Amino acid sequence: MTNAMTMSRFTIFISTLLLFFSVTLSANEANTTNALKLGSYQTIVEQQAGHPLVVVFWSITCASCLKEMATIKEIHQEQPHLPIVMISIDDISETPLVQATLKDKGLSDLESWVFAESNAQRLRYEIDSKWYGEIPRLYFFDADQNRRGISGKISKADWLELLAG
Amino acid sequence: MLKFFQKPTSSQLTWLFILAPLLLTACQSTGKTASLSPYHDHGNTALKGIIATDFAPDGTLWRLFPTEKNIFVEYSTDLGRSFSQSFKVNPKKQKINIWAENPPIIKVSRSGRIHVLYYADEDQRATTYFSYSDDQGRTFSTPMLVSDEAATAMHYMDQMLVDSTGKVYFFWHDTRHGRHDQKLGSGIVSLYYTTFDSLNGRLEDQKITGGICSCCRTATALTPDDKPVILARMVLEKGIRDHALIRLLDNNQWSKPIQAITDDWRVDACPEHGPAISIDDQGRSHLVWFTLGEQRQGIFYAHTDDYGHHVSHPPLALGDPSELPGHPDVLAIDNRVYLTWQQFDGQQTDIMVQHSTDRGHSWSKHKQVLSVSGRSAHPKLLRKNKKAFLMWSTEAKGLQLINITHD
Repeated sequence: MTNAMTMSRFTIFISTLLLFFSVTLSANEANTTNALKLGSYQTIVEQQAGHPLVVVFWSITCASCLKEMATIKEIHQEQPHLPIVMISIDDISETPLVQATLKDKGLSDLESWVFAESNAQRLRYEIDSKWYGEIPRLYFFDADQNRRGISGKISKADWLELLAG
Repeated sequence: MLKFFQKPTSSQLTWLFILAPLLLTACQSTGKTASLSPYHDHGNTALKGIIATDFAPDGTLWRLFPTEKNIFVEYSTDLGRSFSQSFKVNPKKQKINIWAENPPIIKVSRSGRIHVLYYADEDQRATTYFSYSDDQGRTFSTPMLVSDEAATAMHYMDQMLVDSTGKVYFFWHDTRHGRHDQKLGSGIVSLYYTTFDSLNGRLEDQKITGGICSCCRTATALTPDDKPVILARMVLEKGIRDHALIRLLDNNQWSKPIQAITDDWRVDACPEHGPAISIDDQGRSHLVWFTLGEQRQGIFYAHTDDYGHHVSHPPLALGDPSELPGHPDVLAIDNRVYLTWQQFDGQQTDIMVQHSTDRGHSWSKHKQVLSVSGRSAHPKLLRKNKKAFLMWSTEAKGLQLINITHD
């Protein structure tokens, strides 16, 4: 009886502990992926006004993007307060895979969006009227919201240079 | 072969050819869809607005219509104004996976065999399947995997050519043999091929070359003596992603890739913007492509009479650079060369055409012939004997077909 009571309390304790950790973990991961529609990009940029910001456009099928993520993880670890926004140009139906990829690459605590307009070209044009859609596409904003866009995977040294302005 | 619909008489056909293009153009100018027909029981639109088409030798227009789970085929004997009932290609439902740069294909051979190629998620995403029909679409062969290693290596971005004897060539991007020079960049895959014919079935896969940029569709065409030629974006020295030509030689060996275009686009990225090629009856290869290289940026045309060793220079720039001209296609018929591409002004996508009557030496002014707001497939050019047709599929207006022949 006593043993059973102890086991029961132990089980409850463990369950509570697991519940606590799972809640804490999911809170830390904060991995809700938002739907990027017309106007969303401008909101993202405006919300970071006065601070440097990096916006990364990528896709789950883009090998160069997946490689770039290792560098993004390093930069994120070294500069945790630098906002880096990950925007997947995949179809919104791919959201579970977008989230799984970010988690796998250790980037699931970054702000995450996925294209949610059926006409992706219109969305791209609103972001940058000179962008043909090649990815990865990175935008570095300084505190005055001056923007520099660059296509393709870049090195960590390039990142640091672009962040330095 | 055509057993279950009435063939029009030759005089009816003549009137059809004269009137249909005029009617289609007239419909377009009044803002109506040029050749939209009801999509039967598929719902309102094809999956992602993407439809594949081809003309049979008898002038019948065939279209492949993808839905979420199935591939359907239909035909039209009135240039797309009405279509037959739908014939299902895949007996078991599959998760069809296509996108504008990776569309399904339908090709009709000289004998009237209907060849279909499509992509579905299986062990790998967007795995390629092939099926054919010898009874005008009423029954299709059990869809078969194109690659021998479909379970373990991604294979996609296929091209399908059918030569004059009915032999089918398949070319595709394949992720196996991943020993590519990592210093050159990411997303580098191999180009594989196989063939299929009724006598020998499907051959074992064979590698043509490594160094292929994974996400740009490779283009293919047949020479006048039925040999395949490939135009591909390759990852070259210093990570430059420029275009090369590869061809099947008379000894049935593949040539080494010849870098035909020097744009110096040094980038480690997925452009998702493949080239196109058409070869005229004298063996001139007409090429169109996209680049953001050091030398030039945008879409361009050039031609070569020796498969890439010497190429016309400078390349002809196409379109309005402020409107993101992209996804060009090219079609050569005798001395005539037709070009099409898309442009985007921020609100709507426009389809432009331009032509040459002297094998690509001089060119007409370009003109806009179609436009739509909303998602669309890339514009394609189709040959119907000596006639050139523009085919464009959009979510908003369905399939549109215009005769752009310049007599």
